[in-house]
Amino acid sequence: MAARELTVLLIEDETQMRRFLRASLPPHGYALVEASTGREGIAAAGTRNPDVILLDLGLPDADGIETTKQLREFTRTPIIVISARGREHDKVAALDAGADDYLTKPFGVGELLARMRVARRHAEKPSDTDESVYVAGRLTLDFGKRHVSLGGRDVHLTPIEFKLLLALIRNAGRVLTHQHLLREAWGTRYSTQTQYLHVYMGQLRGKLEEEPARPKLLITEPGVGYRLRGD
Amino acid sequence: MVPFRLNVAVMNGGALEARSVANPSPKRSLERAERLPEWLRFIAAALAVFVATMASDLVFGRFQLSDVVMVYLLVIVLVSMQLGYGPSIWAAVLSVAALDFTFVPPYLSFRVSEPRRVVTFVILFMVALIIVSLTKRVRDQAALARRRENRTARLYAMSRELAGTLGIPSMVELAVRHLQSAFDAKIVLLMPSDSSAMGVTDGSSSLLDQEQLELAQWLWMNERSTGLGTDVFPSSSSAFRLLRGSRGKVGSIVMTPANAEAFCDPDRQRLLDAFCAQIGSALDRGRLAEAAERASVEAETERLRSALLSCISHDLRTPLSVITGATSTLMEDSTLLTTEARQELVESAHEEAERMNRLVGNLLDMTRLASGSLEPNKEWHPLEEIIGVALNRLELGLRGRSVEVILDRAPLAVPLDAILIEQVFINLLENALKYTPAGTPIEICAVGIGSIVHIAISDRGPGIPEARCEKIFEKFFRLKDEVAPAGAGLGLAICRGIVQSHGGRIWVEARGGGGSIFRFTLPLGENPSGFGHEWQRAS
Repeated sequence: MAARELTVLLIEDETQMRRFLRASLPPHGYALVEASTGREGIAAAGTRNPDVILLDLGLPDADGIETTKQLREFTRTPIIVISARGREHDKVAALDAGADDYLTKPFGVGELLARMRVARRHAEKPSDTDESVYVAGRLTLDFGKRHVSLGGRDVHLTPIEFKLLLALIRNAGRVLTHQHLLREAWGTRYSTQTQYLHVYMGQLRGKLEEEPARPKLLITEPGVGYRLRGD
Repeated sequence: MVPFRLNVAVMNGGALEARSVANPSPKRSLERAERLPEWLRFIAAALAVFVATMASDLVFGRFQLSDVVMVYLLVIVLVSMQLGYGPSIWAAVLSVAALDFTFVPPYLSFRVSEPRRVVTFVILFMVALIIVSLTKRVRDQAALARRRENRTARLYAMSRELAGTLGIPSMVELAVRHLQSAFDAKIVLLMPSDSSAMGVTDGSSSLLDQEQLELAQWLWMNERSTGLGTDVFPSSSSAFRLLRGSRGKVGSIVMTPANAEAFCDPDRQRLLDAFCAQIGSALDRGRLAEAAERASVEAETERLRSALLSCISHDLRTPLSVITGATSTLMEDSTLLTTEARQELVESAHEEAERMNRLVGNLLDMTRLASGSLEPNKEWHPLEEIIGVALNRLELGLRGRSVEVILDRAPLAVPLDAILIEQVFINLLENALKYTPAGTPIEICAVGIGSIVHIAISDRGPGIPEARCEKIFEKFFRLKDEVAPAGAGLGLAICRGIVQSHGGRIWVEARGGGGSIFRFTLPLGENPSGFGHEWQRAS
């Protein structure tokens, strides 16, 4: 039985970019729907019901953040934003406005596919069930028992560390912004104190990584946030 | 219209606060006694004669006339030395009278019994006059010498200060200050602006009146001293003098002295000329220094521009030609290519594209650095996190190499801009990968010492010759005998720009046993409030 072909809505004004994706995505089972302006994109999102939306933040006719917000008003489809290097503010703003992940130009198709896979996986799960056990590779987190183990070995975490890891593992593979993690672990009161976050992530790396200075699990996305590498 | 830029300084005559131009400063005399009011001096002179008379009477009696005359002469000399011209003439007259009254018969009367006594009186008086006028001349010359010395000292003081001053605004301020104190006058210093299209600025209308402006223009056109103290418009209340440099006029001064008469004294005029010559040559020097500075900045800009052009043409064209070549081959008859060959072409096109991407990134960073818009967004980060990101980015290149990361504590929290410092680590590590043999180890150490954190990246490559250790941080610099890894020579210049904008230093040292150690420092600043507290609570 053939798997359902997935639809990707690409909102991108650059002709060459569209050409590249047109050639690269279908071999992996994606059908491409193209829109070259923000308005076209929003219309297509409503009518074509895509499985994933790729949105370039550098569209000439629309503000990427605004477009994200507008899309989020009527759809839960995962949105991956594409932006240039050095525009971390835009990426963070888009993520906080409801985007699921981001890519920095120039990117390879492998990276894109991985992000799309992760985004779809999280979208397919019903959003409000609190699972009791999360697994990501060798890492297991038992929410009910408040217990964490890595490759079978028990790991002791402080309450804050536990909350951070919980947020990351529930979104395994996806990037979480600093703001999001601060709110999950400390509540809104500390949403401007990112240095606390950095230190606690350092502690987590110390407890969970073989080589904390070269992490394989807890990845830092500079200027944006953190990601738990799930696969 | 002669272009003038009205320069910085105008100072009013005398003390800046209290006095206005109308009230001249009292002529400071160096003789203490001369500061006594006139009438007191006359009384003093009379008193001196009286005392002399009494003393002589007691000592000599009435019969040693020649001795008494000596005493009176002595008194006259003393009075003329201390009390001035008027009182000494008065003393001479009184002495003769006293002599007549007291020591010449008939005593205690002004009549003279022997007519030849009159001759004595006349001679005494004449000698007295000669002494008085000689003394006056000596005193006058001494006063003149002191005044001259005083003026020369002022000229010397100004010259010395000018010699040690850089920058035309400071020189102008200094010159005006010295002129004001030496000549007790209101000074306006005018200098021409660079653009000849500009006329006299509006600001000048508040500093100079119309007549002064016109005379200043005249001075500039005709290059002749004008105004007070000259034969051109001598009735003006101001003096207009040109300031000359080695290549012609550099400016002019408009001086309005408090005491016009004293100003016209030839001595003062000579002094003014000397001041103007000094100021002129100092301003000339200032102008030349400015021109030299501009020229060197232009030369540097030109060098960078041509380096940038050659960089773009070579370092971007080379990868582009590889990509164009490889992809065009792939587009053509693909049945002629083996799978391996095709893979080879594709991979090389990809590699070159990544190289171009890095180069473009470097160029962008360099542009932002050069335009000064690189403000580090400092936040506290554990340094190991930044190092981790850099190592992650270079994962592919680091395959087959051992990388050791040693920190003196964990976490090593440092205030820094994550993205910028990540770039520093990436550039340094990329250099290590490019310039050291494959498989050789790389070490990254970080230690906090006092208020700075000290980071070192060490390799076992060929090392850098001592003479080049400073130059490699320059833009577009590359070691000449390198084997062609492209990169435009910007990486280290960017590192330096970023580290310096954080308030740190970066340098390279030779490593004992072979290789190089790139070191840089970052200031630690203060711990953010509550940092340690949260830390305690959580662990």
